[in-house]
Amino acid sequence: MGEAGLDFENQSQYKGCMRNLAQLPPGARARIDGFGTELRPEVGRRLRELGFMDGNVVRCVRRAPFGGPRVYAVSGAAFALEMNIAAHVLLGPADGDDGVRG
Amino acid sequence: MTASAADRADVLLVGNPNSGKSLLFSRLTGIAQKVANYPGVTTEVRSGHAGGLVIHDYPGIYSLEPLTLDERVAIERLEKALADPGTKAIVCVLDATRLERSLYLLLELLPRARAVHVPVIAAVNVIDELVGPSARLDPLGLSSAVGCHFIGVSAKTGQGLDELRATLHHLDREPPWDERCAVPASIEDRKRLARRLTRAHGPRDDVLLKSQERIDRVFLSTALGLPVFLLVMAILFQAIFTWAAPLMSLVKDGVAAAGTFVGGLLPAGIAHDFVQDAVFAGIGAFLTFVPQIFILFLVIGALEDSGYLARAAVLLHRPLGWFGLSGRSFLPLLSGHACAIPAMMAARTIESPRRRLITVMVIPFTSCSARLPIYALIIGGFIPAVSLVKGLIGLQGLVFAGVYVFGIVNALLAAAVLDRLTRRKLGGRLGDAPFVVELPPYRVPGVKPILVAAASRSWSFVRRAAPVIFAVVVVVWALGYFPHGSGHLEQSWLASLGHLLEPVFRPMGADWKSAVGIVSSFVAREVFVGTMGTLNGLEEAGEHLAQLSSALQLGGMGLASALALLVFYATSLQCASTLVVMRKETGTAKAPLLAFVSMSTLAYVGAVVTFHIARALGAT
Repeated sequence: MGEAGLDFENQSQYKGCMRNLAQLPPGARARIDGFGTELRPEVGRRLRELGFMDGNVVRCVRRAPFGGPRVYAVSGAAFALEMNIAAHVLLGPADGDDGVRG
Repeated sequence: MTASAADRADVLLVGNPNSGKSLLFSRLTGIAQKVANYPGVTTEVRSGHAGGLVIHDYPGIYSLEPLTLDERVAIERLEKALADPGTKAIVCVLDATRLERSLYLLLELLPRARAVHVPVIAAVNVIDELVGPSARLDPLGLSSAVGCHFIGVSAKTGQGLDELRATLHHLDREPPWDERCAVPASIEDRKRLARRLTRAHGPRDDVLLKSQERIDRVFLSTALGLPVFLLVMAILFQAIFTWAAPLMSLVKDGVAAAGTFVGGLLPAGIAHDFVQDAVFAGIGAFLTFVPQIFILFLVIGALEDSGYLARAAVLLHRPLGWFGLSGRSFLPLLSGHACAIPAMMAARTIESPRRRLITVMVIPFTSCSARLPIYALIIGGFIPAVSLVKGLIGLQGLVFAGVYVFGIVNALLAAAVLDRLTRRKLGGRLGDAPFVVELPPYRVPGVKPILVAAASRSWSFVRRAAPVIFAVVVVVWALGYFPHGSGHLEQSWLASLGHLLEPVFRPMGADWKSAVGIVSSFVAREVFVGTMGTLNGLEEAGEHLAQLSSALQLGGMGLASALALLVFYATSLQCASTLVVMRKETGTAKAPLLAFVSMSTLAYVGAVVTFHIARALGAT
């Protein structure tokens, strides 16, 4: 397993508009805008509990070697997420503010 | 428990992984327990007394909704305790440097605790790390905003602990907290409340996160991540071999001196022979290696507490994935080098049941500390102490590292095989197993906590191993002593038995004594050294006790046989406790059965092949 999320960045249909967390390059920020439908509900719940929830700004900190998990900063903490999980976290347009929508 | 529920005063200690909860527990109760900076290390609930209170340390959890097996166990037990009338209070440990994150669990816990009228105290830990103008904490503001006690503490420096104790002891006398501060029900609203509270009353800047990212630039970088990891592992093994040496000779001299002293007190005869040959030669041979076990626990403890282990898990997640394992398999596999039993329990944190099963089954391939005495005996006795690369590395250390690498490679290959075997049957629904690991801040581990933890882990290892070793040593000694007494080993019952077994082990170059050693060590492998020590003591007939390794050489063991023994012990699964725990952790007897049969077969075949190759290459 684990191969699924790896080529998202290069897929041409996504060029220009960021779609999910796995495509967020290191250093970039974006607002989270829901989860993909295939994500197991209990995993989605945990991600929301950790801060990966609608409206929150997430920053990709770095990628681990060997195409491994990436490190994301959200809600004042850092988490490593496997790419095939990050691929289910959908993103809205980038935004400089760390605030919460609404 | 004898006291009725009304008399008891139980306090539940709850918090996120890495919140410093375990250290706080040790501080409050004085009981040394494992303090780890890695998610999910505490798999048991530890209890201890503090004044009239009984404090229960629950495993770290992120929320009250479980995702992995260890979380489910922890949350079920917590909910049971919450409903117990003996529960007087909950202490929820927060991390001041990650306040927003850790407030979430408190906000989830609070409504549940209020429903059963149990007061909650929020202990905001690591306030010692809040330095600088932006790093403030306003416990009073938080208290009135949330509607429960907030106390700033530092488990490391002891700051605020008196206030926490006083609050715990006087809970009954206080009027209940204003419960009008309602906690929202949805995850999103709770998270927003946590953010608002942090902005109003907590540290202003994520300074720590920034410094953590700077260090991660090295530890998780593509170019340096792996070299740094290998360096850390090299230091680990160097430590086991070099730093332990002075401690080991201290123990050896101590045991020898005690043996001579006690032996001198006893009149010549069976009691003297028993004490000298069975007790001191047998148990003493094993005790000599305890310092190495201690150093191993010490270094693993330091790695855990520093926060590096979480990075290692991230770094190794993909490579381990190639063998059907997870990045979270790293800690269990590393702990396996100390002891397979806690290692198999640590595998509970692995999110995918299939990867967890594979990890548990291959852990016994890693060289546990019980194998260490055997390695040290054989390597110390048969590998020349030559230094290579201008004294930087010793040949013995290199062979030592080689045996460990051998164990790791075996574990990985076995994992790959198990991955293939189980993919079709168990694979389908597990494809979505999430790997989500929090990267805790880097911390300089406290010297005292890791020393105390390493000592207590070593002690529990010795306590578990010593009675088995003693029992086997007594049997071996008796069989070797009778019917003709000391000095007539060749005519003893043991020799007859050994000669009976010898043909089985002859293909791997073992003589009858090694055969006895191998058979006696099927209960627990560390028995081998004790058995060989006793055999040697019997042969020497109480004269000056020669060094065991040189005695083996004098007894006719050659390099080829020694290498074969090394391979045998590096591969075989000779530990009854491991089999029992594996049965429990996997829920099926098939797992330990398969592991035992396949590993024993591999060990035997590997030893035979090694013996013949070594002989063909000219070793004696």
